[in-house]
Amino acid sequence: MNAPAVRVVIVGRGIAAAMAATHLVRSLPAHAASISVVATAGATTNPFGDIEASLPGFTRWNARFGIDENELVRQGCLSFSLGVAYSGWSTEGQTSFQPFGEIGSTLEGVAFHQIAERLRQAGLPVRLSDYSVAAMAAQAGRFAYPSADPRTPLSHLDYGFHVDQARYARLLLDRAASLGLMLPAPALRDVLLTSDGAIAGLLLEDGTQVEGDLFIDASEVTSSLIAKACAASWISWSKWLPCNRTVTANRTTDVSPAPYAHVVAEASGWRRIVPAQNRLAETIAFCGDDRPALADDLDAPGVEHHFEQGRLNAAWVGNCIVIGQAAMVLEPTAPFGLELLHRSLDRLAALFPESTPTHAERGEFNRHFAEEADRARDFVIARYLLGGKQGPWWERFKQLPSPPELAYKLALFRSRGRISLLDGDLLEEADWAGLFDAQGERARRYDALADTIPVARLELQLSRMRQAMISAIAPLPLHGEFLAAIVRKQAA
Amino acid sequence: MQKVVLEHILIVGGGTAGWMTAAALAHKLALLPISVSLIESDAIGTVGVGEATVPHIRFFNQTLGINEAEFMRATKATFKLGIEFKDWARIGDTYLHPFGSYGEQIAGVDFHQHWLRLNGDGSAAELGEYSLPVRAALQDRFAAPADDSRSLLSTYSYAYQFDAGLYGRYLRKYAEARGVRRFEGRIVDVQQDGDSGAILEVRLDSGEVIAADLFVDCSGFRGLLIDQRLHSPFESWSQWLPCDRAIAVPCKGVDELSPYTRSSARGAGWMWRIPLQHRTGNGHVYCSSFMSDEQAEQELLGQLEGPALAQPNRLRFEAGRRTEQWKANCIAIGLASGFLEPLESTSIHLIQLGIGRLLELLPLHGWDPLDAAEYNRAMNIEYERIRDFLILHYCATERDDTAFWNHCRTMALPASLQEKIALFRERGVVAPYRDGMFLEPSWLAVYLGQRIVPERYDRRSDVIGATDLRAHLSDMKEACRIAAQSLPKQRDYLAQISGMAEAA
Repeated sequence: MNAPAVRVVIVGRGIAAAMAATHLVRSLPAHAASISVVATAGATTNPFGDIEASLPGFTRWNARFGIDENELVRQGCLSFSLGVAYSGWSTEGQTSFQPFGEIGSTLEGVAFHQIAERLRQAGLPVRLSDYSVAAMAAQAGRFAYPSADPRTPLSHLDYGFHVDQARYARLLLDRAASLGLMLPAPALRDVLLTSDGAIAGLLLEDGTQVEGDLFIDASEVTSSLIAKACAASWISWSKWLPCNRTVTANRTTDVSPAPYAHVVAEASGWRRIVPAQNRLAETIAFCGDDRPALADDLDAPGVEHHFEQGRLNAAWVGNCIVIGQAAMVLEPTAPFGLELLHRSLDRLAALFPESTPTHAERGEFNRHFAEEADRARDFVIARYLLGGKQGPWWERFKQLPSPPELAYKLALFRSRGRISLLDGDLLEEADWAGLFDAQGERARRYDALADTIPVARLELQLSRMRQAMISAIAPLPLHGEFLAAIVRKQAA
Repeated sequence: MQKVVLEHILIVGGGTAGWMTAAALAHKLALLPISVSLIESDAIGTVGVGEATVPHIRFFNQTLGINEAEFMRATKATFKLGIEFKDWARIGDTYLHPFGSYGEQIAGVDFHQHWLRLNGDGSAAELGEYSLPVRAALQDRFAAPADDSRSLLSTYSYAYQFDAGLYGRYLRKYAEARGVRRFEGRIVDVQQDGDSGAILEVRLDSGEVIAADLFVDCSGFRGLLIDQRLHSPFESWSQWLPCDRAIAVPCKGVDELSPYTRSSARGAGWMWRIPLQHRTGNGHVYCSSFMSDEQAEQELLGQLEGPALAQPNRLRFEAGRRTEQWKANCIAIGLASGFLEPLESTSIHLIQLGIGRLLELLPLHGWDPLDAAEYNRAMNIEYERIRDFLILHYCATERDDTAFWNHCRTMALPASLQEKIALFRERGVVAPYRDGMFLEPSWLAVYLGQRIVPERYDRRSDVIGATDLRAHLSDMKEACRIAAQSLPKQRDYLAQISGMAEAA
């Protein structure tokens, strides 16, 4: 294994570029990869707002690379998230909550949502998220870390981040700079190709050329020069996800931030508010020229963005790997973006080539990329296709056929409350059940084994479960207090 | 509570599949208004020979509340830590596929990647040296894994080798004690619904008529309902798994009780050796296009470790599966659902999976064709992934000593397997999947045991200095050696837990 180090050129200056540099430089030895970042082309603003919400996997990604979350809090980079609240997505005026962590618990081998359905059919109303400790803490505006003690309901908590992408990217790229990875970065003029179509190098505006063996397009824009050189084609999801414009703005506030993002279905699109320390990021999404009055009603003047939801047919072509929003644009009505990003990076590090990438490496990378992107898409689509939203804009979704994998999941759920997870699914059965439940879907039948537990015993167990959650949440600090304590700790 | 439309489940056929199904349904459905019956005929033999299992069987027994020591006594069982493969890639090769992983992750990177790196410069020992169950098995040592998850002694799993006939009898007693009604007799007629094809009732040779709502076809290769009545198509896989015959014979065992099954490749197939407490089960699986029955029997009898204890039993089969294992109101479990040779001891596991899925999808509150669709989808994935794993044993070979091995070495492979092998050969990565019983350590054991050596290892391994890594692996190997040495011989362990008479 004496091959020279693979010269990796990461192009971009946003969160994808920063995470790629961090992941690769910390995973790979210097003799295997020499990494540089060309912080040139590409967007620094996210069409979905300056604050991005993550799934819990992102907190573990940070921990794995020694990125101290307390430090991130002190730098104003993040606050905590226990899930997402949805208003108006099923029935007018109703709010539901998609929590992280567990929802209820399996009783005598039967899934909690099956127990819930049995109780409903016995005439007892049960809302799944009422048995999620994360949902209850979020509702109270409180936050704490999960407990290691399995006897307390707080052990069932899990959490993600609300990340200020620009600050977070800068922090990570500053570290990359201190390792000498950052190249001076005038604008990108052209991509130089070899005779066999691989990328040989980048030509910058000042005439410098950056050569490399492996190019990572983290430019966050779908029409980047590099993505074009890759010759991958774009698979549009606009049939199911028609929103292709957003207006984004930020607002300062001194209210304790909610530990959740809030997504509201509007007359022709949606609006999302993601709280962070001392501010809120607001996004209004719509379709084409159908700009709602709401978009002009923001406190701060908003920035308009254009995009098309979808993904590349292949994210690794030749010696070019596309990550982040250049590879997939999926609206953050469910927070999958960062999850897909760090999973891609992990796969890239594990399959990191020795010189010229092989067919097997690309094949394995692209298979997972496609599966994960499509399953994330299904989860997002389901909220459009299901539920009793009224109005002409929402009518179109009522007759729209689902992608086959979603249609099957849904049919099986409707038939008997069962969720069949597929390769590429990023969330668990309980999350899907929670989604369908929130959209008003009910199962015609429930698990036969649920009948083996008497209703009275189930009622008692559920009321105990809820009581234990209420008691566990009561003494927790407000999310704002929790953040303030972290900041104070350093000051002390 | 929803209205119950399922009142009577009838299992057609005893044997391992029938009685496992009966026992599980009797236990799980005890509190529901469902009755379970089983028809079997003493005149029809069962196929079950000495059976080797995979660790999942323990979960099955535990769920049923079966006491392990009592079970071991009743079925003359021994413990099993894995399977030893002899002469597969080359004559003279051996490796052991253990129930446990190799080594442990270092710096977030899988152990085998570090091993590949050191193997490349010749400074790694055999992969099995880093596996406690491999080391213990080869010394005939066994003890149940420790509870303390920090201990190396907690890092393996185990299964059983037992007499399937005795297991069936044991479960029959269990099931009958829990209300399963047994009918003795042969089925001479079956009534079906004219429109749906659903089975309505069966008539026995005694003239007795038994009606049921749901039928479980455990009638073995014949597929009395699923094949003969419902004509669920059989998809043959003989182009990849050409063996179509087996001969089984028990013989007197030797003193040392090996806690592993042995599978030795032969000229036109392979032989099993399964040591039980009271005897050793032997069998020869072969392909009739490449070897005569007489020769196969002669070869089998010629290598027995003790006198034969019964007449050799000849079996015929074809590898493959029914594409609809659940059709109308009938679910085929066991050999009626398909057949995969017992190379990796998967027969009982497939029965167990079928039972588990049936319980999850039991149409207690009404019928919906989706139940069958989901059952078939899930079982088809399991069958296909086991199939690929079995084919790997045949195609990953360098043997060219017989026409049979020339065929296996050069046959066209299913695309799903070809991709997996290419990924491992190039990168040492085991393609992950969500459903499917064989996980990374199993694929590793067979890939590396059968000489598919990756061209590269994970570059992240290089973060660790070579000297440190060598020291780390050497410590790991030493820890496995010491831990294996600390375990008792299986014979002593069995005597200790089950009071088995030592001086027989």
